[in-house]
Amino acid sequence: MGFFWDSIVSALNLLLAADSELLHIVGVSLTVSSSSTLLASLAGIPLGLFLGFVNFWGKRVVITLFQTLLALPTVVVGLFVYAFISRRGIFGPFDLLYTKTAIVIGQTILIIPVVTVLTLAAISRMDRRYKDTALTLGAGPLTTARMVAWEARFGIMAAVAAAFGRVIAEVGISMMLGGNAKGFTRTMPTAMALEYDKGEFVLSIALGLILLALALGVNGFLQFFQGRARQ
Amino acid sequence: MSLYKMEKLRAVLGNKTVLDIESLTVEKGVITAFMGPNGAGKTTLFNILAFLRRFHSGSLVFDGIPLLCSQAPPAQLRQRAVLVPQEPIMFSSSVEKNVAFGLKCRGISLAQRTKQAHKALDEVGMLGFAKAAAHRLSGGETKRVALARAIVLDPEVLLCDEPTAGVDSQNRIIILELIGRLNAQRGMTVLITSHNAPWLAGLASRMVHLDSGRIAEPFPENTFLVHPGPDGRSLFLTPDGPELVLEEPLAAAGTLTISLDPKQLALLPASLGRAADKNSLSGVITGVLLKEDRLLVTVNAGVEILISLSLAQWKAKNLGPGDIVQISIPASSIRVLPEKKPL
Repeated sequence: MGFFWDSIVSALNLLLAADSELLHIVGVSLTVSSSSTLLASLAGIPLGLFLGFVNFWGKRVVITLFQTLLALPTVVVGLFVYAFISRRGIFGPFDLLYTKTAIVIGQTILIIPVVTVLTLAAISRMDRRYKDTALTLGAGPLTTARMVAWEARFGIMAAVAAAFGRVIAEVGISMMLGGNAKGFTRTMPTAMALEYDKGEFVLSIALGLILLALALGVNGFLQFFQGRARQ
Repeated sequence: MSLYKMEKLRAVLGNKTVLDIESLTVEKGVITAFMGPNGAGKTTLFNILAFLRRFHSGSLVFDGIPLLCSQAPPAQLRQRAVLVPQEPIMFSSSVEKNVAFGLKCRGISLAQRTKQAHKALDEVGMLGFAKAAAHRLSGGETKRVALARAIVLDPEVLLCDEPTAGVDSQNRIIILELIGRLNAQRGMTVLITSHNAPWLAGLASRMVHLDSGRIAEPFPENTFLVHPGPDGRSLFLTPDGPELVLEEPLAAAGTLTISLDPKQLALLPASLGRAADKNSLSGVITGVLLKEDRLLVTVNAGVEILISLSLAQWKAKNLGPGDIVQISIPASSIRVLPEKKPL
């Protein structure tokens, strides 16, 4: 118990002291995770809506493929993106390796399937009457999709929150594509891994607690927003 | 002039045929009521007629436009026929925005659609709720707003699926009066369904009975000229009884013809039935006749009423001619016929 107590005290001390290195790590984590979640949402929500509304040959295969990609290991994404952005890769001239942009690219690829599949699930759960009501009142396919998406917004927001949760805590991509460079690409999970390697368990757990508090804050904000919207 | 013309129209759900209409025409500018028990195919038919679902075979012609079963219904036709479903659902916005939604889809300006939405809400007596959250309305209020949401579009065809189911009598009267007014004043073609609607007799120009997806014929053997009581809720099978009690008063006064579906009538030994039960008549079995695989049991309850039972049902009851029994008459078994005399 003393071990965890020391960790909580360390976490509070780090926060109260407004440690510049810690704040930078938190800032990098939030920046890359928010950016990748935003980009994945821009791609994944329309994809989920498309799969939910449009019937085409091979649709079930595509859905199965996206569902399989939910289990995509971060290391595989890291290796895949690395092959493209390393010096010998086709995007090598852009010099993206070991930058925050590289982390964002990898994380976006990782969570597009999360947003897509959970958006599709949210749409599929919606009462069929929303679609029929919009159609019978004369709405076209796009307006109908927009109306149904609006009614499914809490489910879609949960998809976005789940995607954010996946990237804020991932290590593989940040480590392989970001390089864990101090002051540049070090995120909370990579910093925790480093502290663990150094045997600094208390500091590692303290960072973990801060990460959990951040996740709690983001989800609390979403819950508050949902509660306001339901009223 | 015919608006809808159906020939051998068939709809399938899974492996089950849910609609199988040999031939049916719906006239323009009149109110046509579709009646039948739950599962008769009324909602499926309305979804097809509102161009929301495909049919699987046969032909459907709308105002001279033939529709193909192999193709999705043309979206532009949905601008001409609007469906108010049995359980309408409201978008999570205000009542006013819900009613204006269809107008927005038609590119009407904000000021104009607000004005028209308010007018439609006034027609259904819901103007005071314009700014209220639509999903917080009661069942009856939701039905009235759904009706306003449809009539604001001034469609050629209004399809109302069970518009009065689950609403109180006050809302029921408002809804039926409005439907009558829309038809009389605007010449709107109205199609209406109900599983329990002798009171539609005064409203609809034509009654179509559906049973198991097919157009059901009346039962000449079980057809009665009934005399509504002064309250409009009682129907007397003869001038001095027996009596059937309706859930709601009739929309029109005067005698009318009803037919009772023998398959939907329940037969109970007198010891199990209670004479005080609504629409439960006491009588004596006067005859039993085997017809195909069913038994036709005749019961004298002041008038001769025919009940159709399977052999297993009949054996389980352990009854015979001369036994005193109770007949339970569910509302869905009553078919109101347009003719004013027995067949």
